Amino acid sequence: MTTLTLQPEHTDISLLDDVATRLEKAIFALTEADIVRLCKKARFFVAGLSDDDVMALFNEAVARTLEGTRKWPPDLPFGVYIFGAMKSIAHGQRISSQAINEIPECDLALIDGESSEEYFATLRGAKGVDEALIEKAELATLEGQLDELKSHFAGDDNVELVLAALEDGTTRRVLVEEFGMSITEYESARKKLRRGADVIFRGRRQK
Amino acid sequence: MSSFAEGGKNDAFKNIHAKIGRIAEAFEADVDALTDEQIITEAKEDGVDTASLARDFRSNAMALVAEAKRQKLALARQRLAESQKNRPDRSTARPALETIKRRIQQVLAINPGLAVAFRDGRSISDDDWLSLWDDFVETGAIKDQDGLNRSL
Repeated sequence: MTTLTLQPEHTDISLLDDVATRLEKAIFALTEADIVRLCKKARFFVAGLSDDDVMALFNEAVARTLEGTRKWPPDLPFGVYIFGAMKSIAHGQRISSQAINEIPECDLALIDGESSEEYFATLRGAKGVDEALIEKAELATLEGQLDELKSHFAGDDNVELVLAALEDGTTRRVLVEEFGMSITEYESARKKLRRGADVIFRGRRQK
Repeated sequence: MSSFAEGGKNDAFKNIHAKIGRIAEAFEADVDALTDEQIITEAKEDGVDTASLARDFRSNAMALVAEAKRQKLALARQRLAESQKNRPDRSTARPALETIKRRIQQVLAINPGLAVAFRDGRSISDDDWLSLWDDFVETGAIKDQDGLNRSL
């Protein structure tokens, strides 16, 4: 549950009025399709989010806007603003939770006197152990997402080809001209891939 | 294998991050290109109760906005109470009534423009004098310390 706490010393009441009114109008104007679209897009940057998780992320972005810790530029459409804010918050939360999970591990390395590469790196004054472990954990998460997508479509040549092309930034034109794919095949494979990701990356909604 | 001692993100991380980023961007663009009808149909195919989802989204976010407004009101009340607490008690800060009348008449003599709303100084109650004194002090037409410290 998202909580909201206005900090008296940081709250400009006249600005809050303005922001609250703008948010109220924007939220009221959100259609069913806008909200479903937001949920779908959110799952592509944080796999495993349920619709409730996306809602919590959305509420967090709204709360931070109301608290004034995030500024909604007057000329930026709400959908664009809130999606960017959600992405940024999700990234921050992922890093933060990984830090909490990983720090005890680096403490263990110190206690056991293990000669891990990360441990000696800190002794040399390089990047801290916790930071290195966070990076490793995030790398494992990202690799896991990609592996899951690949194994789901293993054996489906067109989808595998489109996935490889998206990974490398290869354009549709190259697949059509050099790999002999038709535009229909490309579009169909890309849709299949996205719909697969929809299912794979989708967490369950709490009833 | 690149070393973590190298500072900055290692190559494997950058590489996978870039790949996932490109895939996510492509999917986001595809979702943006769908019509409202298509996106609702897809969600329903996946078993999503879109009406309930939208209702929950809106009501939760609206509750936050309402909570912000409640807190704002409480904050405004708190600030008002603090500002009133810090204001000097005018009744004890005022000079004697006769001094007030004399000072006001002196000010009006020097600034005839102020007399327009004063009804020529005739037939006004003591409360009117006190209120006028407070107004003049507030607008700076009279320095209240002068009234307390000097007899004019």
